[in-house]
Amino acid sequence: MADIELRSYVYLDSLQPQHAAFLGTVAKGFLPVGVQASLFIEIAPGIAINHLTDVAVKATRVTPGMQIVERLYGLLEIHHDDQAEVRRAGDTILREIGATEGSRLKPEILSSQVIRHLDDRQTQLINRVRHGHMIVAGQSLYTLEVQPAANAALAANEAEKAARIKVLEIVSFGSLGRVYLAGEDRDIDVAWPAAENAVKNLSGRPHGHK
Amino acid sequence: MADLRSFVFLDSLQPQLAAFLGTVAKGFLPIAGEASLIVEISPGIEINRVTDIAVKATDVRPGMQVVERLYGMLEIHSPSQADVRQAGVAILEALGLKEADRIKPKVLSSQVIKHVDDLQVQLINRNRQGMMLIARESLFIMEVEPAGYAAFAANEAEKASEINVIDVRMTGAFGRVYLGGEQRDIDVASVAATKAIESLTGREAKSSRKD
Repeated sequence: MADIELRSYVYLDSLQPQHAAFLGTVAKGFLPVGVQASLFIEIAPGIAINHLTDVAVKATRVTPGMQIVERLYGLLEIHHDDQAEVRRAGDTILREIGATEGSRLKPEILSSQVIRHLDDRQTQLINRVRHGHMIVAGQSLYTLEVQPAANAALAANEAEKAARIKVLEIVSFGSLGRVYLAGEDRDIDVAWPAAENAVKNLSGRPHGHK
Repeated sequence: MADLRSFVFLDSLQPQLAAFLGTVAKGFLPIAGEASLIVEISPGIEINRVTDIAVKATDVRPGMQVVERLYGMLEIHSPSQADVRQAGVAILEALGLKEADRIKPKVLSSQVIKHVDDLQVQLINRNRQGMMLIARESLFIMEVEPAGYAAFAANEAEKASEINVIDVRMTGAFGRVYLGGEQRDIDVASVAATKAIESLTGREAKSSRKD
């Protein structure tokens, strides 16, 4: 299984309450709860994710929340009360594809912006497409785009640890990951550096290198 | 002749209820601070005529027009309270009804679940369309009949306290309001929601609840 490319290997030590609630909304599999450890693995080709889920659930007691095969890539989210169990599932998967944690792609931020004091009319467009909290008029909105996509989960989780924001949307699969956060200016201004730093500090191979 | 079930005027849509309507409404989206009117009648299909009257009489915009099993519901809104009130008058006139012909709303159930468990919040989160319910928050659930009044209860609760509007079901046999938040805020919200419902007048009607 050496021809599987590891794109994301994102370990979350403790799912934050809103992030857990968000996954509880969008996940089609077993639902996580707050403070569980979680691992997001993203690979190419997408369909190979079926094999990695097989390896993870047979080797350990982790429960899968999401397994998504999209156009190009495959995403697997697994979680468990024990950090050790999740780490062990991750090691098993890495061994299976002949990779190490460091062979993931180094996340790259494509855009990161704050829109302050959102207009009533714009909030309504956002509210129609989000799955998490609603944004209300007058709040500020932070959006982040990152690749590979699964790193969006890390950015959102670390932002929620740092600041009192509302998690509107996290897209953790596809060609770009996206995070939408809302809140008061003072909270958004703490959240966005936390989100950026979380992904910037992650090691990995540069884009374009196999 | 149409039977008037709900007829309730919201003087100022609160930010979260406006955001919620922005999520669920299939029509023109309201914004916070606008006035809104919710009309519910039976038979349901008659609501098409009600919408026709409202949009031709005044400058209001329709957010929702729902024909369900038995009843029909219309939500209209405008930045001008006068326009919304005038649309209400035109609707009643055309139907040959008075505001007092609406059904006096009844709270069928009202409960607070304190400190909701991690596992239970996930079930709630899969079904709601508003804010998420976060583990260990408290949850207020109210059932009201007729359904249209659920919007009024939610709006008044949001005026009174810092809660999260999780879900508001304002069509069908019963209306349901789900609010989440800290216990202190839920305690204030539950009183406000109940008072709002009890404050409305109308004719007495037999409940369709079977239990």
